[in-house]
Formats: sequence, C-alpha cells, structure tokens
Amino acid sequence: MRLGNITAVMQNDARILKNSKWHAIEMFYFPVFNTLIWGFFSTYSKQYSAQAGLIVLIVNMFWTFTHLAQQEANMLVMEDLWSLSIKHVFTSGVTPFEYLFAKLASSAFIAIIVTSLLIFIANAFGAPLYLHLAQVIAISGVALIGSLALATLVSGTVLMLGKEYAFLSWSTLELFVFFSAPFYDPSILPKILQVITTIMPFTAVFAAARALATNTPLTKNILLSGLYTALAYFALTLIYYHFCIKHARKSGKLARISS
Amino acid sequence: MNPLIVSHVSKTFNTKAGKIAALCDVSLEVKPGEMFGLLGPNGAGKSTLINVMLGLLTPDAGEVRILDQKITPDILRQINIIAGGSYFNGELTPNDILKFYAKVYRIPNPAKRINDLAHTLKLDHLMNRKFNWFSTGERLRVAFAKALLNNPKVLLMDEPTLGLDPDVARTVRKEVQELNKTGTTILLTSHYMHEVEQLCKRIAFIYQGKIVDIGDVKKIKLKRFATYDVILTLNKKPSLAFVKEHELATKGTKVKATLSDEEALSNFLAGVHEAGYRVQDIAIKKPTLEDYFIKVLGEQQ
Repeated sequence: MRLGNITAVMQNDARILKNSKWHAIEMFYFPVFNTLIWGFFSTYSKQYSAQAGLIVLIVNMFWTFTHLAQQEANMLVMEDLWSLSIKHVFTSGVTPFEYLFAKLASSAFIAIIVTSLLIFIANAFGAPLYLHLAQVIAISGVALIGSLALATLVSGTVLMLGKEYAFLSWSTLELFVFFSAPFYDPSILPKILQVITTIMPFTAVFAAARALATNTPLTKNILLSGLYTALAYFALTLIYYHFCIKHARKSGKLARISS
Repeated sequence: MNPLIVSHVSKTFNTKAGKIAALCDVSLEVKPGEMFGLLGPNGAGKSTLINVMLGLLTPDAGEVRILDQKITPDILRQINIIAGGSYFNGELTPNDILKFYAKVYRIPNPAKRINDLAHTLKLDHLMNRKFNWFSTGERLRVAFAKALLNNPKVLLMDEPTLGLDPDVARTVRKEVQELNKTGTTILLTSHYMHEVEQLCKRIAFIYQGKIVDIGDVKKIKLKRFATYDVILTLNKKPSLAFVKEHELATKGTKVKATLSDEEALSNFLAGVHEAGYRVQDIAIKKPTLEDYFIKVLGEQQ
C-alpha cells in the first residue's frame, strides 16, 4: 500500500471535479436544497409538535451525509469506468486497494465539507448542532465508516459484474437506510424488521440523531454498538472487495470493463 | 534473460454459450530490444494475451514473466501500454493526465519530463484543452505521451494505429521505430499487415487461442510461399521453345515465371538475354505478410 498512489488518484479526482462544474454543483445543490426544504418543514411543523420537525431535519442531515460519502465514492469509480480510463490506472502500478482507499478518502472529504455547510444551515432552523459538536462528530464518524463500507460493497460489485450495475451506486443506500429506521424508533416496527435493524449500519446513527433532536442524553452504548457494527461492515466489505477483484481478474471482467 | 516470456498460458472463459478456450498453451519470448508482432484475426486471443501480460486477467495455467519477474505493481511501473482508441477522462487536460501518471510512475522532475514529451509529440498547444475535444490522432498522441512517460523497458501496443489517418499512422510508426532504437522492447498487435511487416522482424500468428506460427517474418513466409512470380514485358512475343524451356505463362509480350530464389532469378534473366530478348518492364511479386495471413487463415479454417 503506497500513500503516494492514493494521493495521486485523489488529486486526479479533484482535477476531474474541478473541471466538471455540473458534478461539483450537484454535490452541493441537492444536499443544500434538501436541508432547506426540511428546515422550513421543521419550522412549520413546530406548531403541531415541537420536536418532530427537528427530528426530520437532523436525521435527514445525517442521511445526506451518508448518501454523499457513499455515492461520491461510487460515482468517482463510475467516472473512470464510463470514461474507459480505469485500464490505464490499474496497469500503471496502482493496486485495486490503493484505488479504493483514494476514492473513499475523496468522498469522505467531500461529505465532510458539504455537511459542515449543512450544520450551518440547520442552525438557522433552530438546530444549533455546533453546540453539540463532539456528539455530531462522533455520530458522523460512525455514519462515515458505514457509508464507506457500502461504497466498498458497491465498488466491488460493479468491478466484478460490470458497468450495467452502476445503478447500485445510487440505489443501495436507500435500502440500508430504510432498514435502519431513520425517522422513528425501531420499537414501532414489526418484529422481523426490528431484528433487521439491529444489524444495519445506520440504526445507531439515526437513533443518536433523534436523541440530539429531542435533547435526550446520548448514551455511549448507542454509539459504541453503531461503531462496532460499522467497523464489522467495513471489514467484511473489504474482504468482499478483495474477492470481487480476484473474481473479476479470473472472469475477464476487469479486462473487459474498460473496453 | 528475455524481457517478456509467456510460458504455456491457457485461459478458458465460461459464457452462456458454453466454455470458450481463449488461449491454449501459448508460449513465446520477446528478445531484448526486439519489436515483435502478434498477428491473428479478430477474436484470436491477442488482446486476451495482452491482458494476461498486464495482470488484468488471471490465466488458468502457465505464467507471464516480464523483466524476469511475475507481474507486480513494481513491474507495471517499468512497462507501459498503448491501446488503439485509448481513453482518458474527458474532463481532464493532457497536463492533468500526465501529472497523475507522472506521480504514479514516480517520475523525477515531472514538469520537465511532461514539457519535453509535449514538445516531442507536438502537444504543446493542446496541453490545457480538455481531452473530450480531441480528435482520434490527438488522443493517440496523449496516449503516446503517457506511454513514454516512464521510459518503459517493455511497451505493449494493442492495435495502436486503429482508425488513424494514414498520415498520422505513418508518424506513429516512425515514433515507434525511434523508441525501439532506444532499446525498448515492443510487442505489437495490429490488423495492418504492412505495418507489422515494416516494423517487426519476428512475429507469432495466433488463431483460436493457439500459436500457429512463430519466428522470423521472411522465414515464416518462405514456409508457406516457396516461390514468387516475376513478370517481364519483352520487346517481342517469346518463341514456343523459350516458353517451354522456362515453363512460362504468356500473354502477348508479357511472360510470367515462377521462381524459388534469387539465384533462379539471375539464371532466368541471363536466359532471356541469351535468347535475344530485351526486357522493357519487370515486376517482381513477392508474397506479402497479408498473403501469408490470408493463406494461414484459410488453412486453419
């Protein structure tokens, strides 16, 4: 593993993003406007229930954060696949793991920058998250590990099965968020779904986000269990990625994916 | 030790239609500083073999050794590839592309190297234009710059002149010859037989994943074409005795002799002179690599 290769791939991605203005605008456009919409909703809904609006706003913010961290990594991979340039990258001495870590680091950086802006916007709607910065950072850290695990899962799958599976880049997270009980406590769900929520990477993230919104003290246990789950996901998806690359080399997909 | 050694490489793909043997026990060696041609029709296994050489494809059996080592990231940094229709991210400029690869290849003083290559390949005025806007020829020049960036010890060229104007293709061939003169070992695949004939001394012919022929271009052609035709236009119609003596085909004052070597050609021309004929025109039709390609393909099919 060579840090120089990872930073080289990251710098290359930064150049691509710098030159493709629409992609850069999109990165900010959806998160900012989503947060504004939910912010106005939370203001409006305060007349009915003081905390419901804030729950929606803050959970949505962490959802956006996970979305950015996962999807940007996968879209950066797809950029290389769609432009057919990945063959050059993999035949120049950059290993598939260096490549993956570069993409993950780039997307983490983007997600952190955008979310910092969202925290500022949320403040305008009565969610002074900067007052709970340590908790926000802890929740974001867990969310980030879970998101990067999903990004690893999708990257491996696309490299193993081909570009036609690109849709996983923007559809996978939805499923995991749904099973992670974003806006409500898992106890209201049917038994089977409750069981599933216990093994989801974002259940603890959303529980902690709801606790922030309702000013409920955040127990260490929630975050620790979330951290362990996210780390387990990350470790398993790294093994899966290794398997995918090996399989793609054997099946010829890695060779064919850029031609 | 030869810089590129392919030993008993086999590869089978599982498809919906069943198993397809892409490479069957392929072995070849490319000598230091040599330019070696790999010929074969579409789907013969040329690109599959190059992908094995690049470590993008794991063979079922056999191995490839480059610079006396198995394919590792370190070896990949010492070689390079040019493929026809080479693509880079369209949002990047050649400057961006070359900066990235200079870092990956760990090029000392990258700015100078990039400037030098831009100058050599006449890319100076294009260095800050997005790759999306480039013509096929310009794209290939960028691919060349990337391929030369690390002064590769071995260069794999997969159909490098595919789709290029004859003029640009000629420039590319010239560049390749210049590069080869510096000692770079080159493996070239191409559908353009004249290109391979012009550039390569040795070739391998691959068909349905098997090496059918391998060796010196001239000797390989001789194996299939023991003779060649010489067509003379004489100053008068040849006599029947002269035609019979030299086993000629005739049409008016034109005669066609089928000869085996240069000595037979000398003897024939001496006979023409002795018989009192004057030669007004001469055409020698030696078999080309294209003739060889078509003949071998016919045999295999």
